Amino acid sequence: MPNILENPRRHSHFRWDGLGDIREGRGDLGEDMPVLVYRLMQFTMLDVLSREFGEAEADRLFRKSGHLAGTEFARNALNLQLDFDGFVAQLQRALAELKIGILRMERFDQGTGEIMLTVEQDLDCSGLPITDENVCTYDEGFIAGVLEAFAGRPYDVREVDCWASGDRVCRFSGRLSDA
Amino acid sequence: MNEAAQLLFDYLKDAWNQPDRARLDADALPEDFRELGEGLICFVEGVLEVRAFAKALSRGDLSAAPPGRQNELAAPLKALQASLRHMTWQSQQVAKGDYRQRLEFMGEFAEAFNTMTGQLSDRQAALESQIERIRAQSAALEQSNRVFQALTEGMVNWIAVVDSNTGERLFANRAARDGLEGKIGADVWNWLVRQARTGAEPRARELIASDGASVVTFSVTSHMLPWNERTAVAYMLSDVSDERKYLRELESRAYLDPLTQLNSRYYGMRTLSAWLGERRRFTLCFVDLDNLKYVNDTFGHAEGDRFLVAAADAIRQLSPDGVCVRLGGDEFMVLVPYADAEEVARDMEALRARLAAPRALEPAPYLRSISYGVVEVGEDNALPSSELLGLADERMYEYKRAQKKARKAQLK
Repeated sequence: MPNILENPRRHSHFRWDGLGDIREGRGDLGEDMPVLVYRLMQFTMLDVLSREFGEAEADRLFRKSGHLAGTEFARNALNLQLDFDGFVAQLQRALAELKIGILRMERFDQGTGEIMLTVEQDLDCSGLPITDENVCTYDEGFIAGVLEAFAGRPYDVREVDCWASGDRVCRFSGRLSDA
Repeated sequence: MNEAAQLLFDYLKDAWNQPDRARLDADALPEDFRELGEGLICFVEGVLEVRAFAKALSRGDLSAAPPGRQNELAAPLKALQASLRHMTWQSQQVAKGDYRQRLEFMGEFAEAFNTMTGQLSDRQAALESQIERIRAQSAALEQSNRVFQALTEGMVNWIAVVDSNTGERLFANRAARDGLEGKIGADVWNWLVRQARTGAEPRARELIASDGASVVTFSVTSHMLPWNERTAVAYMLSDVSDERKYLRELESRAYLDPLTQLNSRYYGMRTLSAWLGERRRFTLCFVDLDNLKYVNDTFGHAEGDRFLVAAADAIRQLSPDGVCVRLGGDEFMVLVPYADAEEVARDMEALRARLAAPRALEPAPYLRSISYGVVEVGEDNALPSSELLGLADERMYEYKRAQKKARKAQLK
Protein backbone atom coordinates (compact mmCIF):
# COMPACT_ATOMS: atom_id res chain seq x y z
CA MET A 1 0.00 0.00 0.00
CA PRO A 2 1.61 3.33 -0.98
CA ASN A 3 2.35 5.86 1.81
CA ILE A 4 0.09 8.71 0.90
CA LEU A 5 1.41 10.75 3.86
CA GLU A 6 4.95 10.79 2.44
CA ASN A 7 6.43 14.24 1.76
CA PRO A 8 6.58 14.50 -2.04
CA ARG A 9 9.57 16.87 -1.90
CA ARG A 10 12.92 15.52 -2.90
CA HIS A 11 16.31 16.95 -1.88
CA SER A 12 17.49 16.10 -5.37
CA HIS A 13 15.38 19.02 -6.49
CA PHE A 14 17.07 22.09 -5.00
CA ARG A 15 15.10 24.74 -3.17
CA TRP A 16 16.63 27.47 -1.01
CA ASP A 17 14.45 26.58 1.96
CA GLY A 18 15.57 22.98 1.52
CA LEU A 19 18.90 24.03 3.09
CA GLY A 20 17.03 23.70 6.36
CA ASP A 21 17.40 25.41 9.70
CA ILE A 22 21.13 24.87 10.21
CA ARG A 23 21.27 26.79 13.47
CA GLU A 24 18.59 24.69 15.04
CA GLY A 25 19.80 21.46 13.53
CA ARG A 26 23.40 22.01 14.68
CA GLY A 27 22.73 23.61 18.01
CA ASP A 28 26.03 22.50 19.54
CA LEU A 29 28.33 22.34 16.55
CA GLY A 30 27.11 25.58 15.04
CA GLU A 31 26.78 26.80 11.46
CA ASP A 32 30.49 26.74 10.50
CA MET A 33 32.72 23.89 9.46
CA PRO A 34 36.31 23.52 8.23
CA VAL A 35 37.07 24.23 4.58
CA LEU A 36 38.65 20.78 4.52
CA VAL A 37 35.22 19.13 4.68
CA TYR A 38 33.90 21.28 1.86
CA ARG A 39 36.83 20.42 -0.33
CA LEU A 40 36.65 16.76 0.63
CA MET A 41 33.14 16.59 -0.75
CA GLN A 42 33.93 18.79 -3.76
CA PHE A 43 36.97 16.94 -4.98
CA THR A 44 35.71 13.44 -4.25
CA MET A 45 32.62 14.30 -6.24
CA LEU A 46 34.84 15.68 -9.03
CA ASP A 47 36.81 12.49 -8.94
CA VAL A 48 33.73 10.28 -9.27
CA LEU A 49 32.07 12.42 -11.94
CA SER A 50 35.29 12.60 -13.97
CA ARG A 51 35.72 8.88 -13.83
CA GLU A 52 32.09 8.27 -14.73
CA PHE A 53 31.65 10.97 -17.42
CA GLY A 54 35.08 12.30 -18.27
CA GLU A 55 36.74 15.55 -17.04
CA ALA A 56 35.04 17.87 -19.53
CA GLU A 57 31.59 16.64 -18.60
CA ALA A 58 32.47 16.75 -14.90
CA ASP A 59 33.56 20.40 -15.32
CA ARG A 60 30.31 21.19 -17.15
CA LEU A 61 28.25 19.65 -14.37
CA PHE A 62 30.24 21.52 -11.72
CA ARG A 63 29.79 24.79 -13.61
CA LYS A 64 26.07 24.15 -13.91
CA SER A 65 25.79 23.37 -10.18
CA GLY A 66 27.68 26.57 -9.37
CA HIS A 67 25.32 28.54 -11.62
CA LEU A 68 22.29 27.18 -9.74
CA ALA A 69 23.98 28.01 -6.41
CA GLY A 70 24.87 31.55 -7.55
CA THR A 71 21.38 32.27 -8.86
CA GLU A 72 19.67 31.01 -5.71
CA PHE A 73 22.20 32.76 -3.46
CA ALA A 74 21.66 36.09 -5.24
CA ARG A 75 17.89 35.80 -5.22
CA ASN A 76 17.66 34.79 -1.57
CA ALA A 77 20.58 36.50 0.14
CA LEU A 78 21.24 39.67 -1.87
CA ASN A 79 19.37 42.84 -2.68
CA LEU A 80 19.00 42.87 -6.46
CA GLN A 81 17.48 46.36 -6.57
CA LEU A 82 20.76 48.22 -5.96
CA ASP A 83 22.80 49.91 -8.67
CA PHE A 84 25.82 48.01 -9.94
CA ASP A 85 28.36 49.59 -7.59
CA GLY A 86 26.13 49.06 -4.59
CA PHE A 87 25.51 45.48 -5.65
CA VAL A 88 29.23 44.77 -5.98
CA ALA A 89 29.90 46.26 -2.53
CA GLN A 90 27.14 44.09 -1.11
CA LEU A 91 28.50 40.98 -2.87
CA GLN A 92 32.00 41.67 -1.57
CA ARG A 93 30.67 41.86 2.00
CA ALA A 94 28.53 38.75 1.63
CA LEU A 95 31.36 36.63 0.17
CA ALA A 96 33.74 37.77 2.90
CA GLU A 97 31.21 37.18 5.70
CA LEU A 98 30.42 33.68 4.41
CA LYS A 99 34.16 33.08 3.94
CA ILE A 100 33.71 32.14 0.31
CA GLY A 101 36.58 34.42 -0.74
CA ILE A 102 37.77 37.98 -1.06
CA LEU A 103 36.21 39.47 -4.16
CA ARG A 104 38.10 42.24 -5.87
CA MET A 105 36.79 44.10 -8.88
CA GLU A 106 39.25 44.98 -11.60
CA ARG A 107 37.05 46.30 -14.34
CA PHE A 108 33.45 46.65 -15.46
CA ASP A 109 32.34 48.04 -18.78
CA GLN A 110 28.84 49.45 -18.43
CA GLY A 111 28.41 49.54 -22.19
CA THR A 112 29.22 45.92 -22.94
CA GLY A 113 28.68 44.39 -19.50
CA GLU A 114 32.16 42.86 -19.59
CA ILE A 115 33.63 42.29 -16.19
CA MET A 116 36.99 41.28 -14.74
CA LEU A 117 37.41 40.29 -11.11
CA THR A 118 39.61 38.22 -8.86
CA VAL A 119 38.84 36.03 -5.91
CA GLU A 120 41.53 35.71 -3.31
CA GLN A 121 41.69 33.04 -0.59
CA ASP A 122 39.10 31.18 -2.59
CA LEU A 123 37.10 28.47 -0.84
CA ASP A 124 37.54 26.07 -3.77
CA CYS A 125 41.14 26.36 -4.77
CA SER A 126 43.40 28.57 -2.70
CA GLY A 127 46.29 26.46 -1.49
CA LEU A 128 45.76 23.63 -3.98
CA PRO A 129 48.85 22.05 -5.54
CA ILE A 130 49.67 23.66 -8.85
CA THR A 131 48.53 21.81 -11.92
CA ASP A 132 48.06 23.15 -15.41
CA GLU A 133 44.28 23.08 -15.34
CA ASN A 134 41.21 25.15 -14.39
CA VAL A 135 39.85 23.91 -11.13
CA CYS A 136 37.40 26.75 -10.36
CA THR A 137 34.61 25.60 -12.64
CA TYR A 138 32.12 25.70 -9.77
CA ASP A 139 33.18 29.33 -9.08
CA GLU A 140 32.73 30.18 -12.76
CA GLY A 141 29.14 28.99 -12.61
CA PHE A 142 28.54 30.64 -9.23
CA ILE A 143 29.71 34.06 -10.40
CA ALA A 144 27.76 33.72 -13.65
CA GLY A 145 24.61 32.84 -11.68
CA VAL A 146 25.00 35.84 -9.38
CA LEU A 147 25.58 38.24 -12.29
CA GLU A 148 22.69 36.77 -14.25
CA ALA A 149 20.31 37.16 -11.30
CA PHE A 150 21.35 40.81 -10.98
CA ALA A 151 21.49 41.76 -14.68
CA GLY A 152 18.56 39.65 -15.84
CA ARG A 153 20.68 38.49 -18.78
CA PRO A 154 22.80 35.34 -19.11
CA TYR A 155 26.47 35.62 -18.29
CA ASP A 156 29.35 33.43 -19.37
CA VAL A 157 32.19 33.52 -16.84
CA ARG A 158 35.53 31.85 -17.34
CA GLU A 159 38.53 31.57 -15.13
CA VAL A 160 41.20 33.42 -17.06
CA ASP A 161 44.02 32.47 -14.82
CA CYS A 162 44.56 30.63 -11.62
CA TRP A 163 47.86 30.99 -9.89
CA ALA A 164 49.51 30.41 -6.60
CA SER A 165 52.06 31.82 -4.27
CA GLY A 166 50.90 30.43 -0.99
CA ASP A 167 47.65 32.34 -1.39
CA ARG A 168 45.83 31.51 -4.53
CA VAL A 169 44.22 34.29 -6.53
CA CYS A 170 41.86 33.46 -9.36
CA ARG A 171 40.94 35.92 -12.10
CA PHE A 172 37.59 35.60 -13.79
CA SER A 173 36.38 37.25 -16.94
CA GLY A 174 32.69 37.54 -17.64
CA ARG A 175 30.62 38.69 -20.60
CA LEU A 176 26.98 38.67 -21.59
CA SER A 177 26.35 35.46 -23.49
CA ASP A 178 23.34 36.81 -25.37
CA ALA A 179 25.16 39.90 -26.66
CA MET B 1 85.27 22.65 -18.64
CA ASN B 2 83.89 20.37 -21.33
CA GLU B 3 82.11 21.66 -24.38
CA ALA B 4 78.57 20.98 -23.14
CA ALA B 5 79.15 22.69 -19.84
CA GLN B 6 80.67 25.67 -21.71
CA LEU B 7 77.59 25.96 -23.97
CA LEU B 8 75.27 25.86 -20.99
CA PHE B 9 77.32 28.43 -19.04
CA ASP B 10 77.58 30.78 -22.06
CA TYR B 11 73.84 30.57 -22.50
CA LEU B 12 73.29 31.39 -18.85
CA LYS B 13 75.76 34.30 -19.06
CA ASP B 14 74.04 35.70 -22.17
CA ALA B 15 70.65 35.35 -20.51
CA TRP B 16 71.93 37.43 -17.59
CA ASN B 17 73.88 40.06 -19.53
CA GLN B 18 72.24 40.28 -22.94
CA PRO B 19 69.00 38.28 -22.89
CA ASP B 20 68.06 39.28 -26.46
CA ARG B 21 71.01 37.37 -27.73
CA ALA B 22 70.72 34.33 -25.48
CA ARG B 23 70.34 31.21 -27.62
CA LEU B 24 70.74 27.53 -26.80
CA ASP B 25 70.11 24.63 -29.14
CA ALA B 26 69.28 21.74 -26.80
CA ASP B 27 69.51 19.27 -29.69
CA ALA B 28 73.14 20.27 -30.15
CA LEU B 29 73.97 19.12 -26.63
CA PRO B 30 75.18 15.62 -25.83
CA GLU B 31 72.26 13.44 -24.85
CA ASP B 32 73.24 13.44 -21.16
CA PHE B 33 72.95 17.25 -21.05
CA ARG B 34 69.90 17.66 -23.29
CA GLU B 35 67.24 17.55 -20.55
CA LEU B 36 69.30 19.97 -18.43
CA GLY B 37 69.55 22.26 -21.45
CA GLU B 38 65.80 22.15 -22.07
CA GLY B 39 65.13 22.86 -18.36
CA LEU B 40 67.56 25.78 -18.46
CA ILE B 41 65.85 27.21 -21.56
CA CYS B 42 62.47 26.87 -19.84
CA PHE B 43 63.78 28.56 -16.70
CA VAL B 44 65.44 31.43 -18.61
CA GLU B 45 62.33 32.01 -20.70
CA GLY B 46 60.25 32.03 -17.51
CA VAL B 47 62.61 34.56 -15.90
CA LEU B 48 62.57 36.74 -19.01
CA GLU B 49 58.79 36.56 -19.13
CA VAL B 50 58.60 37.67 -15.50
CA ARG B 51 61.11 40.45 -16.25
CA ALA B 52 59.00 41.76 -19.16
CA PHE B 53 55.86 41.63 -17.04
CA ALA B 54 57.59 43.44 -14.14
CA LYS B 55 58.83 46.08 -16.57
CA ALA B 56 55.29 46.68 -17.87
CA LEU B 57 53.97 46.98 -14.33
CA SER B 58 56.79 49.39 -13.41
CA ARG B 59 55.66 51.59 -16.30
CA GLY B 60 52.15 51.64 -14.84
CA ASP B 61 50.70 49.33 -17.48
CA LEU B 62 48.30 47.48 -15.21
CA SER B 63 46.59 45.83 -18.17
CA ALA B 64 49.73 44.05 -19.31
CA ALA B 65 49.09 40.38 -20.11
CA PRO B 66 50.56 38.28 -17.30
CA PRO B 67 52.69 35.16 -17.87
CA GLY B 68 50.73 31.94 -18.21
CA ARG B 69 49.66 29.77 -15.31
CA GLN B 70 52.64 27.42 -15.78
CA ASN B 71 55.04 30.22 -14.86
CA GLU B 72 55.01 30.01 -11.09
CA LEU B 73 57.82 32.56 -10.85
CA ALA B 74 55.29 35.20 -11.93
CA ALA B 75 52.78 34.41 -9.18
CA PRO B 76 53.75 37.27 -6.76
CA LEU B 77 53.78 39.78 -9.62
CA LYS B 78 50.40 38.56 -10.82
CA ALA B 79 49.03 38.96 -7.29
CA LEU B 80 50.50 42.49 -7.23
CA GLN B 81 48.88 43.25 -10.59
CA ALA B 82 45.53 42.00 -9.28
CA SER B 83 45.88 44.17 -6.17
CA LEU B 84 46.81 47.27 -8.19
CA ARG B 85 43.92 46.75 -10.57
CA HIS B 86 41.57 46.35 -7.66
CA MET B 87 42.98 49.53 -6.10
CA THR B 88 42.23 51.27 -9.38
CA TRP B 89 38.66 50.04 -9.19
CA GLN B 90 38.38 51.13 -5.57
CA SER B 91 39.74 54.58 -6.41
CA GLN B 92 37.18 54.85 -9.18
CA GLN B 93 34.48 53.94 -6.67
CA VAL B 94 35.77 56.59 -4.25
CA ALA B 95 35.74 59.10 -7.11
CA LYS B 96 32.08 58.20 -7.62
CA GLY B 97 31.37 58.86 -3.95
CA ASP B 98 31.58 55.40 -2.40
CA TYR B 99 33.71 56.23 0.64
CA ARG B 100 33.18 52.81 2.21
CA GLN B 101 36.03 51.42 0.12
CA ARG B 102 38.85 50.04 2.29
CA LEU B 103 42.18 48.48 1.40
CA GLU B 104 43.15 45.32 3.27
CA PHE B 105 46.66 45.09 1.79
CA MET B 106 49.55 47.36 0.72
CA GLY B 107 50.70 48.20 4.27
CA GLU B 108 51.22 51.92 4.97
CA PHE B 109 49.61 52.89 1.70
CA ALA B 110 46.50 51.00 2.74
CA GLU B 111 46.55 52.84 6.07
CA ALA B 112 46.79 56.22 4.33
CA PHE B 113 44.11 55.25 1.80
CA ASN B 114 41.76 54.04 4.50
CA THR B 115 42.36 57.22 6.55
CA MET B 116 41.52 59.30 3.50
CA THR B 117 38.33 57.40 2.68
CA GLY B 118 37.39 57.46 6.39
CA GLN B 119 37.76 61.22 6.46
CA LEU B 120 35.85 61.57 3.21
CA SER B 121 33.17 59.32 4.62
CA ASP B 122 32.93 61.38 7.83
CA ARG B 123 32.81 64.59 5.84
CA GLN B 124 30.12 63.18 3.58
CA ALA B 125 28.14 62.01 6.61
CA ALA B 126 28.39 65.52 8.08
CA LEU B 127 27.37 67.03 4.75
CA GLU B 128 24.49 64.59 4.39
CA SER B 129 23.39 65.41 7.91
CA GLN B 130 23.56 69.11 7.06
CA ILE B 131 21.71 68.51 3.80
CA GLU B 132 19.09 66.53 5.70
CA ARG B 133 18.73 69.39 8.17
CA ILE B 134 18.43 71.90 5.37
CA ARG B 135 15.99 69.61 3.57
CA ALA B 136 13.87 69.38 6.73
CA GLN B 137 14.02 73.16 7.13
CA SER B 138 13.19 73.57 3.48
CA ALA B 139 10.23 71.18 3.84
CA ALA B 140 9.01 73.12 6.88
CA LEU B 141 9.44 76.37 4.98
CA GLU B 142 7.64 74.95 2.01
CA GLN B 143 4.83 73.85 4.29
CA SER B 144 4.67 77.30 5.84
CA ASN B 145 4.76 78.81 2.40
CA ARG B 146 1.85 76.63 1.31
CA VAL B 147 -0.11 77.73 4.39
CA PHE B 148 0.88 81.35 3.69
CA GLN B 149 -0.16 81.04 0.07
CA ALA B 150 -3.45 79.36 0.95
CA LEU B 151 -4.18 82.08 3.49
CA THR B 152 -3.12 84.99 1.34
CA GLU B 153 -4.80 83.66 -1.80
CA GLY B 154 -8.07 83.34 0.10
CA MET B 155 -7.88 86.78 1.67
CA VAL B 156 -10.00 89.67 0.41
CA ASN B 157 -7.30 92.09 1.50
CA TRP B 158 -4.70 92.99 -1.09
CA ILE B 159 -1.18 91.86 -0.23
CA ALA B 160 1.64 93.14 -2.38
CA VAL B 161 5.41 93.24 -1.98
CA VAL B 162 7.33 96.01 -3.77
CA ASP B 163 11.06 96.26 -4.33
CA SER B 164 11.86 99.56 -2.65
CA ASN B 165 14.72 100.28 -5.07
CA THR B 166 13.34 99.23 -8.42
CA GLY B 167 9.62 99.41 -7.74
CA GLU B 168 9.31 95.88 -9.09
CA ARG B 169 6.32 93.84 -8.02
CA LEU B 170 7.73 90.92 -6.07
CA PHE B 171 4.53 89.35 -4.85
CA ALA B 172 0.81 89.88 -5.08
CA ASN B 173 -1.95 87.69 -3.78
CA ARG B 174 -5.01 86.92 -5.85
CA ALA B 175 -7.02 89.88 -4.52
CA ALA B 176 -4.13 92.24 -5.28
CA ARG B 177 -3.54 90.73 -8.72
CA ASP B 178 -7.18 91.14 -9.63
CA GLY B 179 -7.40 94.59 -8.05
CA LEU B 180 -4.25 95.92 -9.68
CA GLU B 181 -5.62 94.93 -13.07
CA GLY B 182 -8.82 96.88 -12.33
CA LYS B 183 -9.64 100.53 -13.01
CA ILE B 184 -7.99 101.92 -9.91
CA GLY B 185 -5.08 99.44 -10.08
CA ALA B 186 -2.60 101.75 -11.81
CA ASP B 187 -3.18 104.60 -9.33
CA VAL B 188 -2.91 102.28 -6.35
CA TRP B 189 0.25 100.64 -7.68
CA ASN B 190 1.92 103.99 -8.39
CA TRP B 191 1.10 105.11 -4.88
CA LEU B 192 2.58 101.93 -3.40
CA VAL B 193 5.77 102.28 -5.45
CA ARG B 194 6.14 105.95 -4.41
CA GLN B 195 5.68 105.02 -0.78
CA ALA B 196 8.14 102.12 -1.06
CA ARG B 197 10.78 104.30 -2.67
CA THR B 198 10.62 106.92 0.05
CA GLY B 199 12.07 104.34 2.43
CA ALA B 200 9.87 105.78 5.13
CA GLU B 201 9.25 103.86 8.31
CA PRO B 202 6.33 101.52 8.00
CA ARG B 203 3.10 102.80 9.44
CA ALA B 204 -0.61 102.64 8.87
CA ARG B 205 -1.94 104.96 6.20
CA GLU B 206 -5.13 105.56 4.32
CA LEU B 207 -5.32 105.60 0.55
CA ILE B 208 -8.26 106.97 -1.39
CA ALA B 209 -8.48 105.91 -5.01
CA SER B 210 -11.12 106.80 -7.53
CA ASP B 211 -11.92 105.66 -11.04
CA GLY B 212 -14.18 108.66 -11.57
CA ALA B 213 -17.38 106.80 -10.87
CA SER B 214 -16.67 105.50 -7.39
CA VAL B 215 -14.26 106.11 -4.57
CA VAL B 216 -12.45 103.35 -2.76
CA THR B 217 -10.80 103.91 0.59
CA PHE B 218 -8.01 101.58 1.61
CA SER B 219 -6.45 101.19 5.01
CA VAL B 220 -2.81 100.45 4.25
CA THR B 221 -0.30 98.84 6.57
CA SER B 222 3.28 98.34 5.49
CA HIS B 223 6.30 96.41 6.72
CA MET B 224 9.90 96.59 5.57
CA LEU B 225 11.32 93.16 4.89
CA PRO B 226 14.38 91.57 3.22
CA TRP B 227 13.47 89.70 0.02
CA ASN B 228 16.20 87.57 -1.53
CA GLU B 229 18.92 90.13 -0.81
CA ARG B 230 16.63 92.98 -1.87
CA THR B 231 14.91 95.50 0.28
CA ALA B 232 11.20 95.33 -0.06
CA VAL B 233 8.05 96.66 1.50
CA ALA B 234 5.08 94.43 2.09
CA TYR B 235 1.73 96.16 1.92
CA MET B 236 -1.64 95.00 3.09
CA LEU B 237 -4.55 96.99 1.73
CA SER B 238 -7.98 96.60 3.28
CA ASP B 239 -10.93 98.13 1.48
CA VAL B 240 -12.56 100.19 4.23
CA SER B 241 -14.88 102.13 1.93
CA ASP B 242 -18.01 100.71 3.58
CA GLU B 243 -16.66 101.37 7.07
CA ARG B 244 -15.75 104.93 6.15
CA LYS B 245 -19.17 105.53 4.60
CA TYR B 246 -20.88 104.16 7.71
CA LEU B 247 -18.62 106.31 9.88
CA ARG B 248 -19.50 109.38 7.86
CA GLU B 249 -23.17 108.56 8.28
CA LEU B 250 -22.68 108.19 12.01
CA GLU B 251 -20.75 111.46 12.14
CA SER B 252 -23.42 113.12 10.09
CA ARG B 253 -26.07 111.86 12.47
CA ALA B 254 -24.06 113.07 15.42
CA TYR B 255 -23.05 116.42 13.98
CA LEU B 256 -25.95 117.40 11.74
CA ASP B 257 -29.60 118.02 12.38
CA PRO B 258 -31.41 115.82 9.87
CA LEU B 259 -34.26 118.25 9.19
CA THR B 260 -32.44 121.55 8.80
CA GLN B 261 -28.96 120.21 7.94
CA LEU B 262 -27.59 122.69 10.49
CA ASN B 263 -25.09 121.48 13.04
CA SER B 264 -26.47 119.37 15.85
CA ARG B 265 -26.65 120.44 19.46
CA TYR B 266 -23.83 118.02 20.27
CA TYR B 267 -21.57 119.58 17.67
CA GLY B 268 -22.60 123.13 18.61
CA MET B 269 -21.91 122.72 22.31
CA ARG B 270 -18.62 121.02 21.58
CA THR B 271 -17.61 123.93 19.33
CA LEU B 272 -18.69 126.49 21.92
CA SER B 273 -16.56 124.79 24.58
CA ALA B 274 -13.64 124.57 22.17
CA TRP B 275 -13.83 128.28 21.26
CA LEU B 276 -14.05 129.23 24.90
CA GLY B 277 -11.02 127.02 25.60
CA GLU B 278 -9.14 128.75 22.79
CA ARG B 279 -10.18 132.17 24.21
CA ARG B 280 -11.64 133.21 20.90
CA ARG B 281 -13.53 136.40 20.40
CA PHE B 282 -17.02 135.82 19.03
CA THR B 283 -20.69 136.60 19.46
CA LEU B 284 -23.16 133.99 20.59
CA CYS B 285 -26.62 134.45 19.17
CA PHE B 286 -29.58 132.54 20.59
CA VAL B 287 -32.53 132.29 18.17
CA ASP B 288 -36.06 131.10 18.83
CA LEU B 289 -38.91 130.79 16.30
CA ASP B 290 -41.99 132.71 17.24
CA ASN B 291 -45.28 130.80 17.40
CA LEU B 292 -44.04 127.48 16.06
CA LYS B 293 -46.60 125.66 18.25
CA TYR B 294 -49.37 127.76 16.71
CA VAL B 295 -48.15 126.90 13.18
CA ASN B 296 -47.96 123.20 14.01
CA ASP B 297 -51.39 123.15 15.59
CA THR B 298 -53.08 125.26 12.95
CA PHE B 299 -51.36 124.32 9.69
CA GLY B 300 -49.87 120.94 10.56
CA HIS B 301 -46.38 119.72 11.40
CA ALA B 302 -45.33 119.66 7.75
CA GLU B 303 -45.81 123.40 7.62
CA GLY B 304 -44.07 123.70 10.99
CA ASP B 305 -41.11 121.82 9.50
CA ARG B 306 -41.07 124.13 6.50
CA PHE B 307 -40.96 127.06 8.90
CA LEU B 308 -38.01 125.49 10.70
CA VAL B 309 -36.14 124.84 7.44
CA ALA B 310 -36.81 128.38 6.20
CA ALA B 311 -35.56 129.84 9.46
CA ALA B 312 -32.51 127.60 9.32
CA ASP B 313 -31.70 128.69 5.77
CA ALA B 314 -31.98 132.29 6.86
CA ILE B 315 -29.80 131.79 9.92
CA ARG B 316 -27.21 130.02 7.79
CA GLN B 317 -26.74 133.27 5.87
CA LEU B 318 -25.85 135.22 8.98
CA SER B 319 -22.15 134.54 8.68
CA PRO B 320 -20.16 132.48 6.22
CA ASP B 321 -17.65 131.67 9.00
CA GLY B 322 -20.25 131.17 11.69
CA VAL B 323 -21.38 127.93 13.22
CA CYS B 324 -25.14 127.54 12.98
CA VAL B 325 -26.71 125.05 15.34
CA ARG B 326 -30.19 123.70 15.90
CA LEU B 327 -30.26 123.21 19.65
CA GLY B 328 -33.59 121.44 19.56
CA GLY B 329 -37.27 122.21 18.92
CA ASP B 330 -37.51 125.81 17.80
CA GLU B 331 -34.19 126.94 19.33
CA PHE B 332 -31.06 127.75 17.36
CA MET B 333 -27.63 129.06 18.21
CA VAL B 334 -25.19 130.88 15.98
CA LEU B 335 -21.55 131.46 16.87
CA VAL B 336 -20.17 134.32 14.82
CA PRO B 337 -16.36 134.68 15.06
CA TYR B 338 -14.68 138.07 15.54
CA ALA B 339 -17.99 139.94 15.52
CA ASP B 340 -19.39 142.28 18.13
CA ALA B 341 -22.93 141.96 19.48
CA GLU B 342 -24.28 145.10 17.83
CA GLU B 343 -23.14 144.03 14.42
CA VAL B 344 -24.74 140.61 14.83
CA ALA B 345 -27.96 142.16 16.18
CA ARG B 346 -28.07 144.39 13.14
CA ASP B 347 -27.67 141.47 10.79
CA MET B 348 -30.27 139.50 12.75
CA GLU B 349 -32.77 142.33 12.32
CA ALA B 350 -32.24 142.31 8.59
CA LEU B 351 -32.53 138.57 8.51
CA ARG B 352 -35.72 138.72 10.61
CA ALA B 353 -37.21 141.17 8.20
CA ARG B 354 -36.42 138.99 5.15
CA LEU B 355 -37.95 135.98 6.86
CA ALA B 356 -41.12 137.90 7.64
CA ALA B 357 -41.56 139.09 4.05
CA PRO B 358 -44.76 137.90 2.36
CA ARG B 359 -44.42 134.55 0.62
CA ALA B 360 -46.13 134.32 -2.74
CA LEU B 361 -45.89 130.59 -3.24
CA GLU B 362 -46.63 129.53 0.32
CA PRO B 363 -50.28 130.07 1.08
CA ALA B 364 -50.12 129.52 4.87
CA PRO B 365 -51.26 132.86 6.29
CA TYR B 366 -48.99 133.35 9.26
CA LEU B 367 -46.06 135.60 9.98
CA ARG B 368 -42.71 133.88 10.05
CA SER B 369 -40.91 135.57 12.84
CA ILE B 370 -37.93 134.89 15.06
CA SER B 371 -36.58 136.31 18.31
CA TYR B 372 -32.95 136.40 19.28
CA GLY B 373 -30.56 137.35 22.01
CA VAL B 374 -26.87 138.08 21.53
CA VAL B 375 -23.94 137.86 23.93
CA GLU B 376 -20.52 139.10 22.97
CA VAL B 377 -17.76 136.86 24.22
CA GLY B 378 -14.34 138.40 24.65
CA GLU B 379 -10.93 136.87 24.97
CA ASP B 380 -11.13 137.54 28.72
CA ASN B 381 -14.47 135.83 29.14
CA ALA B 382 -14.83 133.96 32.44
CA LEU B 383 -18.36 132.60 32.03
CA PRO B 384 -18.88 128.97 31.22
CA SER B 385 -20.83 127.93 28.16
CA SER B 386 -24.02 127.14 30.09
CA GLU B 387 -24.12 130.62 31.61
CA LEU B 388 -23.36 132.27 28.28
CA LEU B 389 -26.16 130.30 26.66
CA GLY B 390 -28.48 131.11 29.57
CA LEU B 391 -27.65 134.81 29.22
CA ALA B 392 -28.36 134.77 25.48
CA ASP B 393 -31.60 132.89 26.15
CA GLU B 394 -32.66 135.59 28.66
CA ARG B 395 -31.91 138.32 26.13
CA MET B 396 -33.88 136.43 23.52
CA TYR B 397 -36.93 136.34 25.87
CA GLU B 398 -36.53 140.03 26.60
CA TYR B 399 -36.52 140.66 22.86
CA LYS B 400 -39.54 138.37 22.36
CA ARG B 401 -41.48 140.14 25.12
CA ALA B 402 -40.57 143.50 23.69
CA GLN B 403 -41.73 142.43 20.25
CA LYS B 404 -45.02 141.14 21.64
CA LYS B 405 -45.58 144.36 23.54
CA ALA B 406 -44.85 146.39 20.45
CA ARG B 407 -47.25 144.32 18.32
CA LYS B 408 -50.01 144.73 20.95
CA ALA B 409 -49.42 148.46 20.99
CA GLN B 410 -49.72 148.49 17.19
CA LEU B 411 -53.04 146.57 17.37
CA LYS B 412 -54.51 149.01 19.82
